[in-house]
Amino acid sequence: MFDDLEQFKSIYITECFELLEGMEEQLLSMEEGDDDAEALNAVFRCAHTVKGGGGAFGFTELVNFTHVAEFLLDGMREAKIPVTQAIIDLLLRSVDVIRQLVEAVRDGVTVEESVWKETMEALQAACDGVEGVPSADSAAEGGDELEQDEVGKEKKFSIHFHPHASLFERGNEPLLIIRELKSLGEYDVQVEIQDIPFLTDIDCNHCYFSWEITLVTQDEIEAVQEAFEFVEGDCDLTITCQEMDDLDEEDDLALEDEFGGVFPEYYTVIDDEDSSDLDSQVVQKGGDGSRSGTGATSIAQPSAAKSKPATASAPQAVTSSIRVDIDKVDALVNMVGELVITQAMLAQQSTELSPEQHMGLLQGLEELSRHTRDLQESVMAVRMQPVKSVFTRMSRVIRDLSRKLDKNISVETNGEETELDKTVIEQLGDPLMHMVRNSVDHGVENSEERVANGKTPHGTVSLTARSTGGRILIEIEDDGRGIDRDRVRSKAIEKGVIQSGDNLSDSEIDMLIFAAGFSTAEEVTDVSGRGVGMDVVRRNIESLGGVINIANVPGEGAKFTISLPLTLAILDGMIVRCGEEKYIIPLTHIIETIQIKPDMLSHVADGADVINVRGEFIPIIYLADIFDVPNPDKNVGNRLVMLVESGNSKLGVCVDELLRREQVVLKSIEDNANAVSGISGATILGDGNVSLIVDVAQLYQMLKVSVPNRQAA
Amino acid sequence: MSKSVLTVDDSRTMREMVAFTLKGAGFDVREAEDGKHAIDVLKQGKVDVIVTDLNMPNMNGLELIRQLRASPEHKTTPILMLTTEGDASKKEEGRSAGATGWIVKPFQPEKLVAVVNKVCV
Repeated sequence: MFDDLEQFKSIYITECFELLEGMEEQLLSMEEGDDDAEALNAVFRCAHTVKGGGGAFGFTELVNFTHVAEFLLDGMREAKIPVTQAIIDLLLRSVDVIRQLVEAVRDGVTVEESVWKETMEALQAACDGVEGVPSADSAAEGGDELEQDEVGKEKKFSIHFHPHASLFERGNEPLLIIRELKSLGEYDVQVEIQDIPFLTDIDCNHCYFSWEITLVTQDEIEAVQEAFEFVEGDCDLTITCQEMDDLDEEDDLALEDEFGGVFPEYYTVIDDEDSSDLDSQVVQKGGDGSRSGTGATSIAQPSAAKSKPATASAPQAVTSSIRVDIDKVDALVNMVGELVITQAMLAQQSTELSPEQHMGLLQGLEELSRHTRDLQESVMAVRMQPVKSVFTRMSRVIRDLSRKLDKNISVETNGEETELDKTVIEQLGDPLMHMVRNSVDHGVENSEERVANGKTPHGTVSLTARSTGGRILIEIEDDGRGIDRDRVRSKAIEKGVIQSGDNLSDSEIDMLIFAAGFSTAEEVTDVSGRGVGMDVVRRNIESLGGVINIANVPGEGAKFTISLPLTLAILDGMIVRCGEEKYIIPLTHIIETIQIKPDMLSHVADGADVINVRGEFIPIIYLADIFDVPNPDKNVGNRLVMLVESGNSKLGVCVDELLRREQVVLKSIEDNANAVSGISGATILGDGNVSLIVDVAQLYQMLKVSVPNRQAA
Repeated sequence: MSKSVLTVDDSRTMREMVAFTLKGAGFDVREAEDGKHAIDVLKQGKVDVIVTDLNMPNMNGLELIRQLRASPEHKTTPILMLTTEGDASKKEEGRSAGATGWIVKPFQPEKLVAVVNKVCV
């Protein structure tokens, strides 16, 4: 088939995944009672396209399976099969199977029959009662069989062809048909033109010609009929056939000589009942059918629309989007990052210039800075994708899970079009899934309990995305029982997360569910996790530069809000000095900065220093110590403590000086060197120096390590 | 001058396969994602042949054919429809909408070129 099949294969596979996502989404919307007809059509189209493409590549299993699903969908479209919950379930399962089949095709592996067999049988059973249910192997409609040109006997066809006006209305063209016949063998064409009226009476949509064609060919009658395939019903057509054997071979040769290879009228008359008075009607005849045909068309179609060639300058099709390799985009983002750094460097150097002497230059730099910012924003926008894909996945998770737990839960999604960086979206899936599972498993009650509490029998989990001031908020809200603070508190004490005497505010108690060690693998049901606690969820979100908050109303529901940065490539940071080194602390983690007074500082039993901030004791870490910075400022009394927060634990980071706030472009260290604990990346500052970005979450681990060291020192 | 073809299909794979095949046969190929898009593309210039899928969102192939047939500009432009189902009812619907002919998917590249040539003056 196609020589370059491979290049289309990858397009096809990408497209399949998109289509399957679309199918899933539509099926879920049908379940919610949205306009079934439109959704059904959309699902059908997706299946249809998957099958169509699969056929072109010869992916038999994929085509066979999808065909059965398509057949079922078609039955549903025609209302032969009712749309029921069970059927939607089945179709969703089919989507999973198709996805597996596509994955297999992508990876070039063969699929076990068990993957699809059961679902296929269920699909077939669901189609029961509708005629023509496809069986497992009959499904694939074979492609066009290459017609075997059997060298048969020569046959002579006599064809009478009179086009109706409708033939032209469908864009067909007698000339082309005659030309096709010409390719089959030797032929003779006669045009009858006696029907042509006076010029003034000519209706340009009408065809006044008819043709008598004689064709001698080795092809079967099917080949002749095929030439007229598209005009059947738009013309008077009679085709009669006679085997050449029946003719007198000698006569044939003799006549051919006599007429110089052009088939004589003699043949035209044979077997043609209507041709008794043909002689008188023949006006033009000759071997060159296309010439006579041309004459006919130019009269039949004076509109001449077709003969006017499209102008060479006709603009190309407008494509609304293009597909670009992500590596290319990343390279672009990276380059723009460098540009931003260069620009920052220029800006910094220019501060030393006198505005009087260098006005033009300074103006130029100002403009450069604005354009660089715009450019950066535009390039970042390229990486942006709507959160819809993640939300669709979540809808499916909620649906499957609520079914499994026998709860009645509907899903609401808002702001699906909100865009986020592609990487953020990819990494958001797992934590979000865990939170959603948590809401369904622990949050929403079953119907009986809901009704007993005066709620509607069905619960709702809503997913919302919206953007506020440079950040994206994702909210997962349920109208379930909320977080039981007493239980959380007693469990936290039992797990040793907090002490029984600790005095915690309501929101602090709520946040305990994210504390490390609060939920542990053994008590996580198979439903709400893969042995991953909510602390991991929080860590994942934080690694994306995100923050989680809980709004909890016991008895009425809980709302988790994840605030995420628009992009991972740029970060708002505070530049701090420690000795002669500069570090960057992400602004999202900073709560406040305090100048230490000696009486605030105290040593506790296990060796760590803590400070008393308004009655709260917070451990301190000395940045100079953990990063081994030479020559830190000796006088502790002058030091600043920056209070940072990761999750619900606070930490004081002791630094020498706060310099300024700056937007920095993140550079990975791990790409070029080993990961360094406590450091999440690096950036280049305006003065050209490299500065390391502090990983606040990791500082906690380092705190535990650094304590014994300090004691030793 | 090379003949121009507009391929209309919501499936990118199909569109690109049709485009690839026809470009290889010397056609100048434009692409559209659905009927609506096709109408937009055609506003920028006529083409010699249109190859359209039937099942598409926004505006399906039959509606596209009907609209084109109703416009004086595209009244006689050959329009081929791609059908997976080789069944007669689809063909009949297409024909009554004004389709010139049809191509059954999956198609052999040579067959596609042959059919396009068959309707293309």
